[in-house]
Amino acid sequence: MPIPALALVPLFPLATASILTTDDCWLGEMYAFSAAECSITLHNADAKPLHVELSTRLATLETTSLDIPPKGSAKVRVRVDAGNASGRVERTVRVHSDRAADTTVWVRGFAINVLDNPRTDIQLGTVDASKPTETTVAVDSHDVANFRVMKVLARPEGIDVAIDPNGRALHVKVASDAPLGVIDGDVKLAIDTPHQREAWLHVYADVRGAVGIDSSPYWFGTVAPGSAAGALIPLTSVSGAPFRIGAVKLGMVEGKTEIVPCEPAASGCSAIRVKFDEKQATGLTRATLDLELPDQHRKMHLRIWGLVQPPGVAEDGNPLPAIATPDNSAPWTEGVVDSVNAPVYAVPMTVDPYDVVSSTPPATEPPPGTGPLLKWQTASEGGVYGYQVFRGESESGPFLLQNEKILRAHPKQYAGTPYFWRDDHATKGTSYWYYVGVVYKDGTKQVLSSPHRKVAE
Amino acid sequence: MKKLLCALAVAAIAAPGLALADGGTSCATAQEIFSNQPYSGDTSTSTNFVGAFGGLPSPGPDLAFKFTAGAQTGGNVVVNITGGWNAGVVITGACGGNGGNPIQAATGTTTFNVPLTNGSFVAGNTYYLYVTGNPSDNSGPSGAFNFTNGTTPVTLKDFSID
Repeated sequence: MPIPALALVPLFPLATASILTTDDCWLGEMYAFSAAECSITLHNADAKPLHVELSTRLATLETTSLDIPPKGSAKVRVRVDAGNASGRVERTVRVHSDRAADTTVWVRGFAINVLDNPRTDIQLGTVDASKPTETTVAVDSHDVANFRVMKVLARPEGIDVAIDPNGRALHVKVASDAPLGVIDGDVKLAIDTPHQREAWLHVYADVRGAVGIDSSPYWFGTVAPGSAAGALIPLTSVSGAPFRIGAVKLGMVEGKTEIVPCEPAASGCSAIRVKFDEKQATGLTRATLDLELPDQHRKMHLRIWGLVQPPGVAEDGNPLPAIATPDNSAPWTEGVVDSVNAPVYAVPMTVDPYDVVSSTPPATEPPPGTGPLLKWQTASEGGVYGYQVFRGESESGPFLLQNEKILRAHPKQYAGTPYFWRDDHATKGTSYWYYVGVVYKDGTKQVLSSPHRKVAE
Repeated sequence: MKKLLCALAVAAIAAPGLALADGGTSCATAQEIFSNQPYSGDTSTSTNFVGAFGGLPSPGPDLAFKFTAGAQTGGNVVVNITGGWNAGVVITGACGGNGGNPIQAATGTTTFNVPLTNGSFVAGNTYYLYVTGNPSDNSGPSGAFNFTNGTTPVTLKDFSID
């Protein structure tokens, strides 16, 4: 049977995809709240110049439009601000050309945070607005000498923060006039370190008072954009007494609100109806409601979420239209640059680019020298980026990071091979205490060993 | 001594190895998941046995997992979708269509997070995590995925100073 002529026609863009190839770039190790640059490389295998357009988010490109010379290459600088990231910093650059398939270039780095606990999470839990309690949180760093918190730069509304006189702890509590509802944000601190001037600590509290809601965030169900019924958000008073709702501000979505009775009407219950505009994007949807409670002289911050769908689809079984863009629902935490949340345009790689890949086995002999030699071996090290060595002159410290550059984990095939690190800066006759810490790929840290004593010889 | 703050502190400690195809194809067979372990599966091998997650439709086939919340939860379950299908991940307090509204949900076609906010989970309670199609996509998408919920703490075998 003859082959249909159509089958012989090259199919765009597969047949032309190979003329454009790219090289990823590595930003290196960078501190949180610092920026780094590297260059991605674009190769044109065609005999004609290839025009490409570049796009990205959470990164800055040297140019967004260029011509790659025939049979040549071009480099484009990419600048990335680590922000509050710890661990992986990943961005993508999408490369578009009319004559080749779109391709994705990865820009990666690793963010080091000087805090011993880079992801400090201050959980104040459920708090009675009339009886707020104080929590003390350690904020310390063994990465630098004489670490101190210098100043509170910002804090979520309703959270009081005081720096302990020792500069290494915070006293945190819900303010006496805090808004009711969830407080979920970052305490932003100025810190005194050469490499990192800022540190953010996450704080969460659910402040309860005279007026409340069933759950937070409140699930409003399935609502059609433009629907007059909208989403009904009921609030109730603890005492059962009537209460007023003042001004309401709707955030994160397109829509309007109105105050209505609860359905069914009940004593001490008032509701906010949220009507989503026709132009509200469909899909899983999160929104905020900031309102005044004039009888309680309080504000209230609510979070609601649900499914915004075209009308009729959920109830009558009509086919849903395909959604044009994927709904990458963002977590509630705002203002935190989390590398995982960076937009990606490609399926993740099966090999973790943060693993060291090498066929060269690690050294089995210690490095030369006379200083104290640390040797350690791990039983497992999944998710490890590398190791840090800390030294102090007493068992209780203070300890200070000795290897500014992280000692990378061995390639996977050499897991279990010992690690060596020699202290070339020890003073002969001095007694030192050492411990080893691990840095995970997500930037979190763990103390791996207890302090061990050694007199330098 | 500092304690490792796991991305997801579920109560269980023992951990099964990575299986090639994880997830239960019914509520009764929901696979128990543990902190700091990777899981993978393919929802096209299952059926749409969950009609809805409370008020959230479930148009695609579902695979069910379950976990017990620890005293402290936080961070994210990080989901990777293979092949760009339109996926959804939903967490509820009970299994099946009567399991109530989702406690958490997220959707995507590449990599996305399912936040595990502390205030949403009660220590000691069992929760169900489903991998399914995007509730907004009535074509019933399905496909392969993997997810992780934290990193495995390193254990030290030997430490000495000479």
